[in-house]
Amino acid sequence: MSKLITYGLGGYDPSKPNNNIVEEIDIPDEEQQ
Amino acid sequence: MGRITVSSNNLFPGPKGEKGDAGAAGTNGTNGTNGATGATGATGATGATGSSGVVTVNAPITNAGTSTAANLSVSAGTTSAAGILQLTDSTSSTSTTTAATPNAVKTAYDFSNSMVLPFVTGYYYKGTTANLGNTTAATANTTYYVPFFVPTTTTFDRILTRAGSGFSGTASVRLGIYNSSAGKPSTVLLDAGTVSVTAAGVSYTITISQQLTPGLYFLAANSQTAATTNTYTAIGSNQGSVYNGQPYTTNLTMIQYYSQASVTGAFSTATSLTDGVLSGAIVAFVRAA
Repeated sequence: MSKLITYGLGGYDPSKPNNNIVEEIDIPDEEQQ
Repeated sequence: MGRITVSSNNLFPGPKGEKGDAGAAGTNGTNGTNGATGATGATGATGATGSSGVVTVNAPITNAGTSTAANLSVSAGTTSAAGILQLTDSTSSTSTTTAATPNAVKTAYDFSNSMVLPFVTGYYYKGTTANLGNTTAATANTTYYVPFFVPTTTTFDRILTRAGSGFSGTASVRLGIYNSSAGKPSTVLLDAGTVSVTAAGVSYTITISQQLTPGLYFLAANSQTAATTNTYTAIGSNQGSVYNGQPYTTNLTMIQYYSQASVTGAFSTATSLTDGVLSGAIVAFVRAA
């Protein structure tokens, strides 16, 4: 398993909750490239 | 006893009085209703005959008659003169004196669309030269521009980079999209911001909303702080084989990307570009919306 981390518009922003990370999901290995 | 005196004046009525004066006049009566409309007047006399008109014509209208007895027609159009044209549904005619109908245009448009593979919603795409590897360290503060050809208008909603399997430490990677000019990156189309890369094998994406019309673009990535082991999913040592219109060097090594050193902070217009023929460029991906 790996991970996909998604930031909101504008990317990393320490002034926003969770540094503007809006989603973290696990990715099955077979879907990675 | 008293005596009663009888007078003849008290026994008979007097004469009749005179007739009184006439009474005051009564108030006026209400107005009567309007009378009926009168009959229409007689038609006036015919005016005098005007002077004869003169017809003046300009191309593409022609006059086979005279200026006072015109016989007009419209000339056929050519590639050098305006005029009347026959419409045609043909999509194979080579005529230069007929005009395509919207139906013919649609037939051609549908065919051209059928020859383009569209981007599929929800899938990520990379630059056409990027044959991926992830073992070569990226140079900090160097922007890597990988060509990305867009055949049909598409909106993209994510831009992504991925730490290599050997990555360690922490890096700030800026991602963006550049316009092209003469086959090279030129002005900034999108500076999506940065991601904080902290773990090997993890993909980092930024939410975007960027429509790209058909043309050549460059996906840009720049590790603006270097991790301990600053490796990413990057262009591998073997070049991609997909035709992409990119040039080759004189020793026939395909230029896979362009790079620009000493780039810090926000992206700006590309300059001082170096041909990238070696492995190591960070590859950014975009996801079709």
